[in-house]
Amino acid sequence: MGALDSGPDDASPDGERFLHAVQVMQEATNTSMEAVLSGADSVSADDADEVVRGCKLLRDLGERHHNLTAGPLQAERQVWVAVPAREQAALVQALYVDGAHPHQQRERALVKPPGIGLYTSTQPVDCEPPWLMYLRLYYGSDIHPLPWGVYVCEPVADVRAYEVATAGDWVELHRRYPESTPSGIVPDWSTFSREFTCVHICLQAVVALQGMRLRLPGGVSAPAFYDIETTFWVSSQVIKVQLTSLIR
Amino acid sequence: MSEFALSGRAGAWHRPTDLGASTRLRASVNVSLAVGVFALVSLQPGEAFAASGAGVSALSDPLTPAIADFGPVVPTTAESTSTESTTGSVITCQPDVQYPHLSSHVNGTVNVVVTVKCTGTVDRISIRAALYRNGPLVKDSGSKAVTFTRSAQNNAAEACNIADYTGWGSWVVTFLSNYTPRFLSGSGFGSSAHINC
Repeated sequence: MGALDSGPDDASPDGERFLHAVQVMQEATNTSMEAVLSGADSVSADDADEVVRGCKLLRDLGERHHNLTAGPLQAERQVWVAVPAREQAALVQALYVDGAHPHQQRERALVKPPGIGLYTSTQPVDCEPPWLMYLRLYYGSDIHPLPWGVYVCEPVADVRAYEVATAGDWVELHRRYPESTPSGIVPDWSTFSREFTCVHICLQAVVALQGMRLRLPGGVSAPAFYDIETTFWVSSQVIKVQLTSLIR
Repeated sequence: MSEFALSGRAGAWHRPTDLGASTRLRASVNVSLAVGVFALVSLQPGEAFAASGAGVSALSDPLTPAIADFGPVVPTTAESTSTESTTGSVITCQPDVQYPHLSSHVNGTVNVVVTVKCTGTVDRISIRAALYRNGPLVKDSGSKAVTFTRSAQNNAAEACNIADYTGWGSWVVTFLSNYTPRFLSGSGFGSSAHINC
């Protein structure tokens, strides 16, 4: 927890402290984690969660932003940032996992299957949503080309969110909806989408599971890298998005 | 890129949150060892430009090397400090060239991130990132300037090839006018990583 707790002090605005968390988590990449975990095959969810409980930054942010750090999902405060910005019509065609869409036929099962689903983050009361904080670190870079479209999301049907607030919750998700791959066990998002409309990965879970192979019945999970509080929408019927601004 | 230690009861690990700007790196199966990160070029305390700032010329960005050859061994701690003239407060800036990695947000892309983080607000940070594939330079971010800030970041990325990738970074920090020295700069390579797309 050293890096997370060595950032802006308690008197700093929450936006600065969230940004610090984003900056620390983005350093935990697949190659850096492989380097520092060299020789470690897997960890238990209990051990991962125990270490995170000691993080002062998460505790402090959780006092005022519990929905982001530990849930539950605030479906009415979700923000999507499209990179680059897309036309509304193209967006509606999307990208969802539920049975109505041909993209359900995936070539590779992954924790984050490419081109499938919508990723949003929660708009806090007094600062930018985490995904926009992350993107601003890359402003001007061709990896996230401008313009960026900022969309607010409105629930238009029943939202059935699966909450992942701990590494234990992540393990349970894999236990209920497992799909084996050469990289490890990943969630079977297609089966998942028949019962839930989205999965809300809270910030403390992001910290607990980032880059870790967690022990599961019958194997280990493939490492996941979310960096920020994230909601992954797997159903196309539940939210409506509206463009609010373009960042150029 | 700091050491990752097993502590407490079996299976309890320090979190990746312990990752910081340490330049001491370890070897593993797919990540080759590179000692040190930055070849630091800095002024010594007292070896100052005029404190007023008038007529002081900024340091220019180091040139991006054409080939990743790692260069000489550099000190473990590549920090730069500057001291305020009246209070004696010190600002320390830490550069970091992260491991090249597969982007978790842009599928099929290899990315390397270079950062500079300071313990106080500085006037300006110019920062540049470069990516090397099996030796030659493949991407240069160009210089990016951030003003009145405590940190800056730049990145270089390309479509993934199965290869050994290395990152390089350069930085120039301009401290506020009441700090000595006023300008500090550095550059250097980070760890190599073999990327399987």
